[in-house]
Amino acid sequence: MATNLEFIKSASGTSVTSLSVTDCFSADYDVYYVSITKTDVTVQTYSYVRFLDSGGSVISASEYDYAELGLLSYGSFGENKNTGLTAIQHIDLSGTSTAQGIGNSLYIFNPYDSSSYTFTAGQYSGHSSSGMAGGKNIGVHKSAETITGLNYLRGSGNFDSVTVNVFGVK
Amino acid sequence: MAGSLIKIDEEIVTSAVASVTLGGANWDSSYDVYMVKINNLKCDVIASPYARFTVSGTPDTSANYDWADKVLRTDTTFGDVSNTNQTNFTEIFLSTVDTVTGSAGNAIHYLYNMNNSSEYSFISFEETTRRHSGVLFGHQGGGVHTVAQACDGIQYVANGQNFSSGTFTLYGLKK
Repeated sequence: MATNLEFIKSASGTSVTSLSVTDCFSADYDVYYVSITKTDVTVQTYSYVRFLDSGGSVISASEYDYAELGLLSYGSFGENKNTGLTAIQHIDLSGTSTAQGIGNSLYIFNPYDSSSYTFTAGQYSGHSSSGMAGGKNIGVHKSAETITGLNYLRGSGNFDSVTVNVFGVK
Repeated sequence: MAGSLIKIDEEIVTSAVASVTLGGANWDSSYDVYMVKINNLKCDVIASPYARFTVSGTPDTSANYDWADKVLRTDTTFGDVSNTNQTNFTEIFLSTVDTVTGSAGNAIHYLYNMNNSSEYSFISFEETTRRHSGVLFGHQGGGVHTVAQACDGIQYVANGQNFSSGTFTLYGLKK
């Protein structure tokens, strides 16, 4: 039986500051599911995402907004939000221990539509040195243009290893 | 995400309609969990859409809808929204949208226990919308229809206005 959740592409990297998944968006889908199940990082902090334009270049202009509800097992829940940034921030959080990976599920809406903005909605569960850290987040790239891929990066430090999987919701 | 998504129904809005119904005659009762994808939804003027389940293809408007959610937004403190015994899921699925540049509603909804006549039907939702005001906005939460009955779809209503464009797609989550 044909299904409507279709694997498109996977990308991996080691000892990188960011990871781009190129040419993963197309006119074949309007909504995408991104799965990130394992990262090893050098600095305990948040991860960000930004997008690649029609030429495959990273869009780093100040045209991203985000809002995130941080869900901590060891402290008060947090409200994080900002506008006019160079990336959608706070899409996950992980610590530096090898065991402290993450599970990140992120939906991306309408990236390839040149007449609409690109939106994200996601949730993640991670682990910092203090305990479990999860979150619910939304974001937008405020430019109506064709987006062909994504760039996953850290707020600071590097990925020792990282894998990103992209699926189309047809 | 275990399993696979099987498309059951889809409505693509290209001209003004007051509501959209997924399921009904197209409903496939062979799934335990369903997913609805809503993308790039716009209304002809500012509107706050709502939703309700259908029974035998007809919207159930009984006052038995409860929900609770967190409102994420970029302009001010996040909000807590909840209500009980309402006639629909109001202002939790999609924020106000219209045709202003960049204003659009996008959401993922999961529907649970829709086919079980001895249990309530549930919904969980996540939304990412740029409102007519330009604020990034989204509801994250869940709801329940407190009637033990089988449901066969969901209706989205533009709440006195019209949907002008957007796509609604219903999937079954195959085991």
